[in-house]
Amino acid sequence: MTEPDLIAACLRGEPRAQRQLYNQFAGLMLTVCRRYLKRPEDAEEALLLGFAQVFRALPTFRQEGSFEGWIRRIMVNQALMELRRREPLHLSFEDFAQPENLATTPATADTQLQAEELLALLQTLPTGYRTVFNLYALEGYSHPEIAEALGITEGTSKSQLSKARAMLQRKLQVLTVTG
Amino acid sequence: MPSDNLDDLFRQHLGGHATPPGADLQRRLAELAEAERLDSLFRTGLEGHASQPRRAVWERLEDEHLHPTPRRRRVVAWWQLSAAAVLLLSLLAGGLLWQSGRGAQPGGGLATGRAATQLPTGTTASRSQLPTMEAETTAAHPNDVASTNTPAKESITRISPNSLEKNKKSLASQATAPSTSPSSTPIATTTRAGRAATATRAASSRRLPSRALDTAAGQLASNGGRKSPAGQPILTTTSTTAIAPASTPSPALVATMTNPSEVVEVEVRRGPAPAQPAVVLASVATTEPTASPRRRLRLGGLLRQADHLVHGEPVSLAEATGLAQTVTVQARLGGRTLSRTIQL
Repeated sequence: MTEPDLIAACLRGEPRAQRQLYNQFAGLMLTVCRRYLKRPEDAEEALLLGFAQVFRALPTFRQEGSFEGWIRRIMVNQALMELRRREPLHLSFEDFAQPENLATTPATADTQLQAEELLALLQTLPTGYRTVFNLYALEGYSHPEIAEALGITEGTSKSQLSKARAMLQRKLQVLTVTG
Repeated sequence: MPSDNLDDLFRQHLGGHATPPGADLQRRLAELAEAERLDSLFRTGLEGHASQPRRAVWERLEDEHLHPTPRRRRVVAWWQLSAAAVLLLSLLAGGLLWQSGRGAQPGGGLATGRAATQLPTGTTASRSQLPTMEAETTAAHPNDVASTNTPAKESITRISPNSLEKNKKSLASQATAPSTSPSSTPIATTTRAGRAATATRAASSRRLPSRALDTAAGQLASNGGRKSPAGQPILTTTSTTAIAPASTPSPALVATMTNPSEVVEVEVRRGPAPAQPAVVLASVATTEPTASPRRRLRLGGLLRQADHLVHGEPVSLAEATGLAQTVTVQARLGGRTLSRTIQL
């Protein structure tokens, strides 16, 4: 079934089409949620509610842009909502005192790291760092957009991002050195 | 033209001129490149990666969001549940009223609602009296409601060995006002406890005290209805009857005195077969042959007395039970007959 046909069938409420849409995107979207939410059950909850929202908002999807991108945006919003529920986000944007030794060997694209390892790395970050890094680096939000989405200032967004990167660099260095 | 010269001037001198970037700028560029590398490392590493959701997620999605239970079904189920609950309560109330009525406790079926709220005080008072009472027949009476029924039974055993005057006095005091004299207090409280015990079972929760009256009335009506197939009058006002389960013909029954003024003959039956020997229990002698319509009419009086009890006004047991002021209660069990007259 082509994508427009699949969407049309889902709009008609056909259960098989709904199942197919879910099967097609659930795995990708669960990874998205896992980037934001450490605990697997929280990530699953976000996935569930995200898909519920996808089916609810399906009539509003103007078949212009990427369907996956549209779903992903819904999923990210759901993940942020889930984060807000688990912990007040504004408390998460602390500065964590870190040793000032910056990574001397930057991580290179040659670093062969599996997706699960990267996910695990992300999940070691404090919530604020992790959220901003996800939104900027992986979702492509700008700092003004991040500030609005999270209710923080642009300055906080920038500092959280640079701290997140520094921490990730350090951890990557450890990984690459120890193998 | 000067402008042409100017353009040439700038082009000559600036074109190809290289400014070595400052160290700070270099560092910043290096950092940016690093950051970009890090970001893309994560981007490419995680992009397209699919995790496996558990099967339960899809099922929950279906059940809760895609195909939720229609509301109509929920409403229907609620009614069915409440109807079943009312029926169950009625049956329980009926069964327990039979049990508690054993101690010649007039108006035992009344004010189950009031009794529900009275349970803490009534039970504590009665429990303090229990040690002083003789437990005659409790051992001989295996009953699954023994725990709740104990107060009622204790009051029964206390009544039988008592003298007639004390019995009259206590019941009369109960009729006029609750706990007028200290000696009657135990009986009054145990009566209430008996009723309270009934109510706890009948109401089964303190949330329904207001409904317990309806339950009592309802079960009276339903009891009245239930007896019609057998054609036998079933005592709905358990005021002066004692019930024993068919399996255990225990002598724990109300002992009453005969009084020739009024004889109300009532048989309480359990089970469908009318030919059960000595299943009942106690009979209140009355001259009226058609007891059932009269008893149905008593519902109004019953409710009125229940209302009195709730509001703390004097209760007229005569009106509640539809019996005369002086009543003879007769118990027939096996070959023995016990009877007593009481004043309502």
